[in-house]
Amino acid sequence: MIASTIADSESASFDSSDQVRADQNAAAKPRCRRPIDYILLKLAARCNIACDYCYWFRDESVLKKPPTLTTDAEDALIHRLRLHIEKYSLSKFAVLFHGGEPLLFGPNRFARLCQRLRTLDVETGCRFKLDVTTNGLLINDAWVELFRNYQVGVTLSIDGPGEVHDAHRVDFSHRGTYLRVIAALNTLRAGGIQPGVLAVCTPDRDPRDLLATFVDELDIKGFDILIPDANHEDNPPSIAPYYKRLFDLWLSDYAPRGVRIRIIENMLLGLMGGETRSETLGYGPVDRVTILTDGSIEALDILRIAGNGSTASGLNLVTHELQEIERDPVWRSALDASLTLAAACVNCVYSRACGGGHIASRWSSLRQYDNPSVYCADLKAMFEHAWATIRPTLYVEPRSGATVPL
Amino acid sequence: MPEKDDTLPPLPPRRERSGQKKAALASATVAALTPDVLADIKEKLGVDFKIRSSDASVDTIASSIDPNVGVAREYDKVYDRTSPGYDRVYDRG
Repeated sequence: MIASTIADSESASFDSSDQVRADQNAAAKPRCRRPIDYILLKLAARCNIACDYCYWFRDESVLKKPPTLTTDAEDALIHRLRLHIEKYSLSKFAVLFHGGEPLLFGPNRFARLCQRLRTLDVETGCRFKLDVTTNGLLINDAWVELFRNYQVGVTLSIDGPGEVHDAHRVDFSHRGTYLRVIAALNTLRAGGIQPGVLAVCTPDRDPRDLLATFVDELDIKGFDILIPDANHEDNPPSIAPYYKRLFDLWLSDYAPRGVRIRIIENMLLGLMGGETRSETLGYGPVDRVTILTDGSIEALDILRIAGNGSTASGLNLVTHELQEIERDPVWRSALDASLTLAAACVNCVYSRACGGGHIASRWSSLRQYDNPSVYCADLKAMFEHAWATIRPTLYVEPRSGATVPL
Repeated sequence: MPEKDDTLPPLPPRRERSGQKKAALASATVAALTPDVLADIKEKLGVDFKIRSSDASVDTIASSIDPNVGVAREYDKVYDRTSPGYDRVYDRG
């Protein structure tokens, strides 16, 4: 049995009000560790475009990291992964290749890394799930062949209609990148790969435009629309009108056509008592680990929007085991905060479906993660709207088969 | 004038039940149902039921809820905000 209890002495110290909240969450709070089985691997710390909302470069310390994953860090990664898998008898492990722009790593080194991971797969019996999230600009037939050969799932960032995408996702000459990412989409499909697609919400736009572009023009049937990154040091615009409209359009026009939008699916799963499948929404542990290009081991990378160097841990694969991230105060505080909601969330009827919002959106310099999301009012309005819409349609079906309307 | 009975119709006579259980919920109880109460009924009271919807799209999502998953997100799920999971490699084994 791998899991061992986190000793109370290891837990962060609570004041009495914290303890009340901890008690209120106690029934649901997992008290045991688990081995790390998913990493965000930064293949590149630089990017070939300059999106105006990028969280990565909000932390200038990333520019001090090597531009791409060093060979020493790669060697250490393979070595540590083998030890980690054997120590914890893991049967599966997920690696999400990330950046910056991960394809700046180059096809030759990418192929070598994937080959090493697939070899580990065979030698250890641990099944590796490999995925990459990319802006697509470097994708060509050679990359597609690599993705296919090494079974790498691809997520492509597209922000919807061309003018919206080009307003935010520009290259260093301030030129839009829409046509180039659409070319990448076509190249992927021609090579037998259907990418997942990721957009960022543009609150001042009608989501109908995005849906028309994705579904009607590009035949994309599964995607997510991320809530823009922000915390309590920011003053983000309201997102509720956008997502309420998106929900209505999806339910009336697009869901019947088989269109899946992850944030909506997660909202509905949470509202109906299920588990969400995203770290963006829903109660659950945040224990993601990020490996930087120099082999540094850090907490979930988006936590760096708290400020420069805010996720630095002093841990590195060259000198530390992967599991030692548990000793990192940033990682521990994010995990603890994800499982101990802010006071304002405890009595909210949407607390489990919402989970307090994305952990990064809870941060403030004054109270760290002890806040509801900076989008709390919006999230509540979104959940209220969805719940009011679906509630009249709901009924419960006991195992006996009898039905009771809600 | 007695107060209106706000419960669902009573259970049929025993001989007609065929071993099935039916639940009767007071309207006040129904009105008080919230997403968190639904989760509590399942997890804390261990009542075994499925949420269904008369809307086919919502019902598809309801059907994907795993009754064996507790309130904390299942640990072995693979998810990330930047990897929605709708990707496919056509020749994946």
